[in-house]
Amino acid sequence: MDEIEEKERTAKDWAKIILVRILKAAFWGFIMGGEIMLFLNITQIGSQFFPAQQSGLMEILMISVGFEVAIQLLQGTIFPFILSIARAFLFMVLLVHVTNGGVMEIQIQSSQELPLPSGMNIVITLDFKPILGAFLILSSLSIIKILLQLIEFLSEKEEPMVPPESS
Amino acid sequence: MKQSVRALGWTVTIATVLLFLFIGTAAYSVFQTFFAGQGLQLGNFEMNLSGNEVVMAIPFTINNTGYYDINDFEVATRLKDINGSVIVQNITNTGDIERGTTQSRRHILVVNFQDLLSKFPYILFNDTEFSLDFLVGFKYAYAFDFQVSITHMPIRWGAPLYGLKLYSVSPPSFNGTHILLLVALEVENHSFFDINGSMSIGVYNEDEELIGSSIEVVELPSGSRISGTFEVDVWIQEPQKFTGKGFVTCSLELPGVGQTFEIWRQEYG
Repeated sequence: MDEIEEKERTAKDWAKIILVRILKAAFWGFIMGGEIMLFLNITQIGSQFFPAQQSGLMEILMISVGFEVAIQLLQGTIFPFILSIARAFLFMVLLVHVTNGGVMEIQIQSSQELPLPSGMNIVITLDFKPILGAFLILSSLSIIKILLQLIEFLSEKEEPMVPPESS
Repeated sequence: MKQSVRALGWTVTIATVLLFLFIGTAAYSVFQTFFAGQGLQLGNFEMNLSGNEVVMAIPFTINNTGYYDINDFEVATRLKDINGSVIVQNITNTGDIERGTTQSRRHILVVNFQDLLSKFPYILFNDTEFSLDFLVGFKYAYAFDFQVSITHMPIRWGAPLYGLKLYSVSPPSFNGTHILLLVALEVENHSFFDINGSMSIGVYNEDEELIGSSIEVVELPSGSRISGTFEVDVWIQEPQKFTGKGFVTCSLELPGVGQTFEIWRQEYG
């Protein structure tokens, strides 16, 4: 009888733990990009101003949300550290790729609203390499921090539970 | 270990927040200054003839109402011919414009008319088109580099002596002291400047000796046209040198160009 009660309690506890983790994962997933995805989908701002870049932005946000959900669900294991490092590294690569190395160019074509003489080109260039550099430095620091956390986590796991020696 | 990880974590978090704050304020500031406000005011494109130079000027004013400094604000222009060869180029750099300050400048592009005519003699008599590349660039808050370039902007060139036709209506006649010429002249001034030049008519004998000359004033305001027949009397200083045969030349001297163009030559006798 007692054994059955204990089993029921354990299942309940597990359900509680899983539910809390799912809710936590959903919350952090929303914070780490879900809200921007929702905002972009509702307002369609991205498609109005950056039609080409919008798809890239949505992919980045989806990756961010996916990583965050996985990290939150796997708390207490080694995987959140590995996933965090992978996410930071992936973001560094994506950031450089999406921003074209920190140099963005917009070409204005002749249209009905803005008729331009034939052959005339208007190019707007924005170079923000110093800002991209700062982001990359911060991401590198973030990776170092996670590595230190991982070392700490592993050392705690490896520590033998030796009772204090009696003199 | 825990403390150092925590310190590093806070450092990264605070630095990221500061970086986002900087990007946000810089983006808002640049938008308010250049798009919502009157941060950059470009004046009307001016084109004048000064001496023997064509001076093109673009006045501009930068009013930095933003939170950060504007660095290395520059306006650059490049004038090219129809084949894309560079005729002249210039860069105007205002240096740094601190926040809350205003700077007004004139970007000037000077073309030597004489050089222009020596390279492209046809532009005196034919309308054509040049192309202008225009670039505005500046750094904002020492971090963002903005550049707007407009290339292949067409600049219409109106010929000052468009469709010039000069011919003798009747053969030159000599009355013992003068040679009388009846010439027909057709010309349109398509250029942006008035022409106040002089037309020299020279009479030569068959030995190619100048025996008489006459100077007529030519006034052709911008956009005007001359079409008609004119009688020109050329006094022959040494009638004994008149052999009854030779040629008449007509040369045009344009002030500002500093060059004489032979526009007509006709045999007589």
